[in-house]
Amino acid sequence: MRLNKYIFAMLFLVVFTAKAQVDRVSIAITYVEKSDLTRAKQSIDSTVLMPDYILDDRAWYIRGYVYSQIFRKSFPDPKNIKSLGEVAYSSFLESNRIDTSAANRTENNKSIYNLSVYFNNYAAKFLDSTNVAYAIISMDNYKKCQRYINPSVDFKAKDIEFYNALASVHKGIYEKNITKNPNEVMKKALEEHFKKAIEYYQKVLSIDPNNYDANYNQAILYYNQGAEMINSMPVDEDILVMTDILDKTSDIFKASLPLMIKADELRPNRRETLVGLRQIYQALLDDEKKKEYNDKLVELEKK
Amino acid sequence: MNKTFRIVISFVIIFLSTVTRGADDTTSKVKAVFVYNFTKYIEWPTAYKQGNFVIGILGSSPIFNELNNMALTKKAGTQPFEIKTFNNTGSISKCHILYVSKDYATIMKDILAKIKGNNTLIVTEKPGLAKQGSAINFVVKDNKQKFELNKANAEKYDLKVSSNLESLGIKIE
Repeated sequence: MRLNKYIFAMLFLVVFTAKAQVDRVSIAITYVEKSDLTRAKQSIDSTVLMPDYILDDRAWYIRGYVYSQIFRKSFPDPKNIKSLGEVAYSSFLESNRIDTSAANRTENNKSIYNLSVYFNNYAAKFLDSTNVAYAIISMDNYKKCQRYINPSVDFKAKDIEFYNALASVHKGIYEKNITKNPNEVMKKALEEHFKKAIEYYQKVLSIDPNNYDANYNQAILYYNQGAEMINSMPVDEDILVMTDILDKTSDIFKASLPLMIKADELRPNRRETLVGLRQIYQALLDDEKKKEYNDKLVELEKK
Repeated sequence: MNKTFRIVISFVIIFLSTVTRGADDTTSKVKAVFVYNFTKYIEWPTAYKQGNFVIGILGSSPIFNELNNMALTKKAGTQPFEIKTFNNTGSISKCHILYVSKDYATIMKDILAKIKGNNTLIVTEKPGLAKQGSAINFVVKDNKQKFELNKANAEKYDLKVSSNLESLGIKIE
């Protein structure tokens, strides 16, 4: 294992300033040196609880370092986000808090930055249908680390990317399963995913109303929801029930339209938005507009 | 760090993004449900209550597929559905419901002459046709599928329209 220069320096200091008794921090450092992070963790965990070390910023720094390295190496184990990653962060913070001379602040902050990279990797890794909650926790931790180092850091661009990705995950779960004739319980769960997807797209649009992905994908989500409500209707559905369904779907298609228009304005004459507009106008029974966009599509395909 | 994150995020967004279902024709599905309901809320004379329940489509219409799907699993009371298509007025044969596609809306007089003496419900889909002989005419109101009902045009063919259906349609006299 290549050791951090700072840890080498610390070891040097520890050895040459050693008192008669064994320095407990140096024991942990020795384990780190031998790449035995498990023992290093055991050693430093007991050390920081000892009265002589509880206010030792070096001990807390080593603890943060050991935890963050195990966290990095165990990637991507979700249970380690809290048990390792968050403990590493709080240890670095404790080191900084104790170190009133701020002598070790640079190293602590460098380690917190590295930790933020690990959290970021976890966030990206867990962007799937079963682990999305871990992605959110990891991203919160990433932001916490980054904000600690630079309180004025701007997360707008990051938030847009992340919220769009979260929305896509929820949208994917909803659209993949809603066509599989789900039972009522499953349907309710899927509706929650639908709401979550909308919520995240809205978050993106509150940051950047001109975000193409959020406008386009939200329009599609609404359109597909309306289309699915009609498609899943049994052909012998009672006319009164159908009338209610049509009232709902009409509102849904109307919600879809301005978003798709906006997407088309942002990136004009793309096939996907023209198809989207044609379908939405068809669903809204507006033959004139449907024809207009169909003609545009035909023109586009001639090119 | 951000580059890797962006690549992963972009993959998630693109991979999980879907497009509109291009083949979706929600209009035909809705009209098919209406047509099925017409078989419940309209009564045909006794002579028409046996054998297949025939729905004829004059011209080509996307509703054909929907009605065919319906015919696979549903019945009009005890009568199995039979879906037929006609390419011209001359080929129209006895049917319970005649669905006239938009393309044939200009020849209503010929159609009426052809079905004279039958107990056929004429269903059309172009504004104004409920005043030109059809009993049911699909129209669009506030971006929603509605239907006009000309009760007198149904009664001309000895068809009894239930009050429930009457209350749901736009009355045309």
